[in-house]
This record gives sequence, structure tokens and C-alpha cells, in this order.
Amino acid sequence: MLVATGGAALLVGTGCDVPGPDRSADSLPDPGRSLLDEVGAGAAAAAARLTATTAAHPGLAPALEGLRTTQAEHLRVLAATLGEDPPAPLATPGPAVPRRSQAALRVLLRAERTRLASVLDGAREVDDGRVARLLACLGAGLAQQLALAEGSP
Amino acid sequence: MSTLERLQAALAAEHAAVHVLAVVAAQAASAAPAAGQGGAFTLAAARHAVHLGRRDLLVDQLRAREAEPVAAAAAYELPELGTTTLALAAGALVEERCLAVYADLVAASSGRLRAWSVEQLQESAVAVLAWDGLPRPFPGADEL
Repeated sequence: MLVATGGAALLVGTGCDVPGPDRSADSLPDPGRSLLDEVGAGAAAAAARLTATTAAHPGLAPALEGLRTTQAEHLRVLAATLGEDPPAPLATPGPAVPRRSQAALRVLLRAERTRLASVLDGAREVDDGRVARLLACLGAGLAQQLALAEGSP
Repeated sequence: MSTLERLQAALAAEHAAVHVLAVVAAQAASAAPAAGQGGAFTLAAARHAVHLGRRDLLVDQLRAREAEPVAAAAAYELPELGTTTLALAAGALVEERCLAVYADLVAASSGRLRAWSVEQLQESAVAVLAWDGLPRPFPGADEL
């Protein structure tokens, strides 16, 4: 741990009051709640898109495994924060996937970049600071996965 | 905690980051030819510049609020250094600590300061990977 010697400890844990799985959904009023609903729906659609992509192009699955597990964790935390069960995989057919694997990967990553921008817009604009923090951290996790998938960390 | 307190916490984190990364860069520079630490030096130097910029901006933000910016400590307990692996680990630790304070600053701010904090959080999250750190689903929010 990085600490200042002879002074107050620096950079230690936060104890910030945030919404999360251990928080009552009742404590999360609108519009923050509606925003998290919207982000959850976007994450579920993204998970379906990734599933369709890797089903069509199994060779992409290893490179997208980190993104898949991150999406699943985001869905779990969002659902728990809202007091809901994590969404079941979509029963409807997934979105159309390009026939060439590299094109499919580009389409997927472009959609994820668009989703990331939307999540960060929410983090910047929502009044509730706790929701802003949750979305900013979710966005940071997605940004890491995109950097890895794009080979640009 | 108030916005001012979160700003001070972020500034303290950046003081530490600037100090640690300067040492990492200096060590990597002296060892670079023999130990293959050229990449670590380049990364440390680049990240040092980023954290210097953040530190100066935080100082400005605090002074604009008529607050006295927290001073850098006289010394910091450094992580172990001396090899490329250790240098990378130290850099990742610096970024991880910054993630936590910027996540909290996001919660305690609004408007342009909120937007800037969101940006720094994203930026440090990707920098963790450059230091060979591991990705996490919610960087900066260890409780999730």
C-alpha cells in the first residue's frame, strides 16, 4: 500500500455510500432507477449480441471471453442493485452476424463502444452520485475489455 | 464525504502517484539497457506526465474553491522495485489507487468536475492494463 510516512494514510479504502447488491432497491429512486434499468437492458442486448457472434464464429470466443464474463458480472450487479433476478438469456434469435469473422468482431466492438458512450453519458448526467459512481466504474470495466479486445491497452 | 474532501483525497493520491512514478522511471532508466526496462521507463515517464497534469488541475480546483490543497508528504513508503516485473506492479498499484479516489469523486461531484472524474477513471482503468495489471468488472469499486 502506498502511504505517506509520518502523515495520514493515503489512497486507502473509501467507504463511499453506493448502490449495490447489498442495498435495498427501495433506496434507489427515479430517475436513477430508470437509468439503471436502461443500462441493464443494454447489457442484456450486448450479451445476446456476443453470444450470437461467438456462435457464428467460435474462433472469436477465446478473445471475447473476458468481455463475456464482464458483461455477466455487470448484469448480476445491476439486477441485484435493482432488487431483481439476473435476466435469463434471451429466447429470441440473436441479431444478425456478419459472415466474415473480422467483420463480425468489428460490428460487435463498435456496438460496445456505442454502449460504453451511453453508459458514461449516464454517469456524467444522472443526479444521484451513487448511480453515477456505479455507472462510471461499470464503464471503466467495459473500457478495459474493449482495450484488450482491440489490442490497445 | 464532501466534494472538497474527495478532491483532497484525489490530490493526495496524485501526489503519491507522481512520487512513485518518478522513482519507477528513474530506476528503469538506470537499469534499462541491462535489464530490458526500456519499456517500463517509457511507460513510467508517460504516466508520470499524466499524473502531474492531474495533480496540477486538482490544485487549481481546490484553490478555486478557496481551499488549501493538501501538500505532498515528505516521503512515501515505496513498493518493492528493481526489476521490470516489480516496476510494472508498482505502476499498476498507482493506477489502482487512483481508480478508487476518482470513483469516489464521481459520486461527490457534478457538472464539469464529474465529467473530468469519469474521464480520469476510464483513463486509469486502461492504464492498469498497460502496466500488465488485470481487468476487473468494476474498477474503482472494490465492494462490487
